[in-house]
Amino acid sequence: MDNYHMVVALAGNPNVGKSTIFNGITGLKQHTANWPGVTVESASGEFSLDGKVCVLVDLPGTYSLNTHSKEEEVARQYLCSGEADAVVVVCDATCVERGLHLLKQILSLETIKDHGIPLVLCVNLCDEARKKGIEIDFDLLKDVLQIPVVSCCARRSQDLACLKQTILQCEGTSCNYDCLDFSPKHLAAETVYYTRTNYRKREETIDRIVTGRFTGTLIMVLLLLTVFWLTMAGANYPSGLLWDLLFSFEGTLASCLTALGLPDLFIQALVYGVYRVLAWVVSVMLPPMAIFFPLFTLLEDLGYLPRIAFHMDRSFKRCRACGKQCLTMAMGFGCNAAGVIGCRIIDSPRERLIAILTNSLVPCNGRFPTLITLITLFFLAGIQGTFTGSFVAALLLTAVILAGVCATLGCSWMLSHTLLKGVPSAFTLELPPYRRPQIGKVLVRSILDRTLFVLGRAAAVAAPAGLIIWILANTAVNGQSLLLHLTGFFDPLGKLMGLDGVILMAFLLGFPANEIVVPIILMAYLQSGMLVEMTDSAALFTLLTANGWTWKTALCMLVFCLFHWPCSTTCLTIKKETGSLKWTAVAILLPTLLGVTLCIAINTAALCLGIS
Amino acid sequence: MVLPLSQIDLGETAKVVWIASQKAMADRLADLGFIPDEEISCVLKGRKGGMRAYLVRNAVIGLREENINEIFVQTGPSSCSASLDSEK
Repeated sequence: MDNYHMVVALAGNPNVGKSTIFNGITGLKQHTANWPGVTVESASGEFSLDGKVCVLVDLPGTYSLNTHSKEEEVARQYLCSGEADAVVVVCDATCVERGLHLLKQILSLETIKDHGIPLVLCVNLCDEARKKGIEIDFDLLKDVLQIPVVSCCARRSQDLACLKQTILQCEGTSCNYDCLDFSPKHLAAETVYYTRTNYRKREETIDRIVTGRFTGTLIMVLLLLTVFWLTMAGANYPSGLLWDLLFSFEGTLASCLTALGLPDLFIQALVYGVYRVLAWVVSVMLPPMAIFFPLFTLLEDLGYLPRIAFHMDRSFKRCRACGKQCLTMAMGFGCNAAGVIGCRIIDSPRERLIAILTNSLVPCNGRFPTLITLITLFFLAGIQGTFTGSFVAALLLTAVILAGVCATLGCSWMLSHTLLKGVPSAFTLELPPYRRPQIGKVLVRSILDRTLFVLGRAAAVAAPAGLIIWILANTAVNGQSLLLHLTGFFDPLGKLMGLDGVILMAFLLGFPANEIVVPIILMAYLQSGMLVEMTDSAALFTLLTANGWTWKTALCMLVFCLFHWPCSTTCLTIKKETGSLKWTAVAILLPTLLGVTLCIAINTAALCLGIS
Repeated sequence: MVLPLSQIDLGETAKVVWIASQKAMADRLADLGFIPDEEISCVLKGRKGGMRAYLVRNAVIGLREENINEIFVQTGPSSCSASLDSEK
C-alpha cells in the first residue's frame, strides 16, 4: 500500500456503525445491518481529501483484544501489524464506557505505543443518544484522552467530512501515549450524563413483547406472513403490466431482425428462446423481489433479528447448536455464501460447522422467485390475483420457510448426535438498540444491490444457458436431439422423485446460479417444439401442464428447490471456510439426500393414495 | 447476600461478586463487563429454559441459563454504597 498517502483503520466494538462510516466515506457498499458481527472480514476502500488518496480499512468489531473468535483475530492482527498509519476507534454514544475499554487496550498495544500511531476517537450514533437523553461532555473527553475526539452521526455527510479532516490532520504526527492513563469506568461516569432515567423503558416493553412466551413466536410468524403477503399482493399488478409491455415488443423485435436479413432459424432461437424467457424472468421475478428485499432489509436494519435469535435459542440449545446460528440462517435468506462466511461469529468450532453445513437449508435470494412462481401458478387455482389468493400464497410461502427452519433444526440435531457429537457451548448474544431504518437508503440499496443483482445474474447466466439448450435441441444424434437424450437420461430418477428429466437437468445446470432453474425449464420445454401463445401469464401454466405438470410436480419441485445442493459459490465458500473436502461433501450431500428422500416420499405417497 | 444471577428478578439490579464460568466464557464475559463490582440488571426473561438478557455497561447481553447460574451476584443496599475501582 505504498502508493497511498496514508492507511487508516476503523476499529471498535461490534455494531457501532463502523461499516456505515466506511460506506459513507469511501462510497463503497459493505453490507450493514443492526446486529453484531455483520463484518467478518476486513474490507478496504479509497477516499481522497485535498487531492490526497488514502485507504480506509473496515475491521470486524471486537469487544476486546483478547481474541476469542476468528473475526476478532482478524482485527487484532491488523492492528498489531503496524500497517495502519492512523486508527479511528469508533464507539457507540450510548455505550461510551465499552468503547473506552477497547480504546485503552488498543493504546496499550506495543505496535501502537512504539510507533506512536495517532488515534482518533469517533463517538458515533450521537443522534440516537440525544434522543435517549444521553449527553456527552466532549471537551472533558478530549482533555483527559489527549487525542482528537469527533462526535459523529454516520448518516450526516458533514460529520463524515469533519472526521475525514481530523484523520488528515493526524497525518505524520507521532504521539506519545506513555503518560496517558485513565479508568474507562470513571471517565465514562464523568463525561456521560443521563438526563432521562427511564430512557430504556420503551425498548424494554417492546423487547418483552417480541420475546414473550406466546407473543414471541406469534409475532415472528405474523411478521413473516405480512412480508410475504405484501410481496405477493403488491407484485400482482406490476407483474401483469410488465408482462404486457415486454411481450408487445416480441413481434416488433422479430420483424426488426427479419428486416436485418438474419436467418429464420436464428431469429426463432433468439426471440422465442432467449427473449421470451428473459421477458418472463423480468416480469415474474422483478416485482416480488423489488418488494421483498426492501422489506427484509428494513427488518435487518431495525434490529429485530437478534431478538428472534434470543427467542429461538431454546430450540437451538435443544439441538445442541448455538443460538447465533439463527443470525447466520437469516443471512442465508439473503445469500447462502454470505451466511456461511457469517458463521465466523460462532466461537465453538463444532457449532460453527453445524451452522455452515445447515445453512443452505433455507432458501436464498436466488431461490425465492422460483418458490413464489410455483406457489402462484399451481396452488392458487381459481383465486389467483384476488385478496384471498395473495393471502393463501403468503401462507404457503411462510410454511415453506418454516419447513426450511425446521429442517435446519432437525439436521442440526442429527449432526450433533452423530457426526459432530458434543455439548452446547457457552456464548453471549448482544441485543442492540432498535434503530430507525433510513427508508430511502434501504429502498435504493436493496433494489440496486440485491434485486438488480439477482436479476442481472439470472439474465446473464440464463441467456448463454438458453443458447446451449437451443444448440442441444437442434443437434440430432441417432435421429433424436441431444436435449431429448439428456433429459431422457435423467427422466427415470426425475419421475421417481415426482419431477421429470428436464427439471432435474435444470437444477444441475443451475449449479452456478439457482435463479436460472425456471428459465432453463421453460427454454427446454419451448425447444421441444411446443410453441405456446404467450398472451398472458396463464400461458405459463398452460405450457407447464402441457408438459405433464400437476400440483404434485410443483410440490416436489418446491421441496427440491428448498433442499438440494448449494450453488457453486456457496460450495467454494464452504470449502474455504472449513478447509476440508470432507465437510464440503457433507454440506452437498446433506440437503441433496434430504430433498431426494422427501420428493420420493411425496411421490410414493401420492401414487399410493391415487391422487395426482 | 450472594446468590446466582438466575435468582435476580426482572428489573432488579445486583453487583457481580464472582464468575465461576470456564476460562473462555469468563474472558468473554469480562470483555462485556461481567467483572466483580460491576452493576448489572435483568432486563429480559424469555421462555422457561430460554435465554435471559442483562443490562451491563449500558448494553443488553443475552445469556443462556447454564451460564447465568455461573455468575454470582450480591444484592441489597450495601452493594450500592461501595465504590471500588475495578479496572484491573
